[in-house]
Amino acid sequence: MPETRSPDDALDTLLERETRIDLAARLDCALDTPAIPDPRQDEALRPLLALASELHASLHRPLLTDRQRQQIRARAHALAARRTGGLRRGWPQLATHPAVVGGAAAAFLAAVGIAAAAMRDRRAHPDSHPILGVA
Amino acid sequence: MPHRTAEDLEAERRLIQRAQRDPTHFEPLYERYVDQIYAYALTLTGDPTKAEDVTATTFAKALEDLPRFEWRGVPYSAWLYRVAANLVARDRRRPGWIELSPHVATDADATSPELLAAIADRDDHIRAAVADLPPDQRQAILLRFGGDLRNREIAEIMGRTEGAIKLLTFRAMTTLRRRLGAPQPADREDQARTRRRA
Repeated sequence: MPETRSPDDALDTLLERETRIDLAARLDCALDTPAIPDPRQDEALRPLLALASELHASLHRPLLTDRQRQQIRARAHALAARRTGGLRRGWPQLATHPAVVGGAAAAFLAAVGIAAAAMRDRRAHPDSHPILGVA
Repeated sequence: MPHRTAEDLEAERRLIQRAQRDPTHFEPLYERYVDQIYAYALTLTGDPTKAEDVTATTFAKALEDLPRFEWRGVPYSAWLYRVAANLVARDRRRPGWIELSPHVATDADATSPELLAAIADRDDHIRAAVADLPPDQRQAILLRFGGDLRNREIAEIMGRTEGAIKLLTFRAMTTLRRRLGAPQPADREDQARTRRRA
């Protein structure tokens, strides 16, 4: 059975809806003003404006430590570099990170080692090609 | 609540242009927004590890897309929030999503342990209450108060009208007010001071 509503109920619902829309518009206007207006001007909005200040302060409180910020930065850079096949230049902080400097140094030393081994091999077999191993 | 002024936006446009010319200058943009994006992702996911993943991936995409980024006169954070929201939505469609109570890192600059504890406790309540809101209301609150974005910017990120955002914000705030009630920030500090004196 559909619920029957009296004209008074319908009017109440309409008024409630209109009040809500009006309050929402007034709240929006108050939130957009540079400074929070005198709460006495609008008693209905007073608790909501106080809550807005609290929400703003709470949601702006930093959650990350410096260390977490650095970790996220390094991960973001690594992800971007992987997807783009290496960026031209990264953030300066990352370039000076010990892990990055250490990794680059290790890669350089490995390359030097390979080249030295190839040269030794060539000296041992002067007729052979250093890479292909054929005369 | 503070929104960015025309001067703020112009300064941000210059920062982006500078970073586009030389990615080593992306750093100020990262420092400006990393906490906001992390807080947004943490409130949406409830999981610090996932929030870090989302934040790192958002900034990776920012770095990748920087050369193609076009300034449209809205804060750069609007673009970052949209990327983060898409990442969370994509992850949420996978199974195994667990909502946890957000946690807060310690603030080394806090004036006293009692005040720090009182603020952290209230922040936990506020973030938990925001996290409990229906998804659309939660998004609207996070973008409005965490991101300081305007209704039209929020509407663009969420794919809704400005009027809808206004109502979502109002509904969310009335719900939060019922759940959180008093005390207000000033009272909170007074209480902490009283406790310290006692």
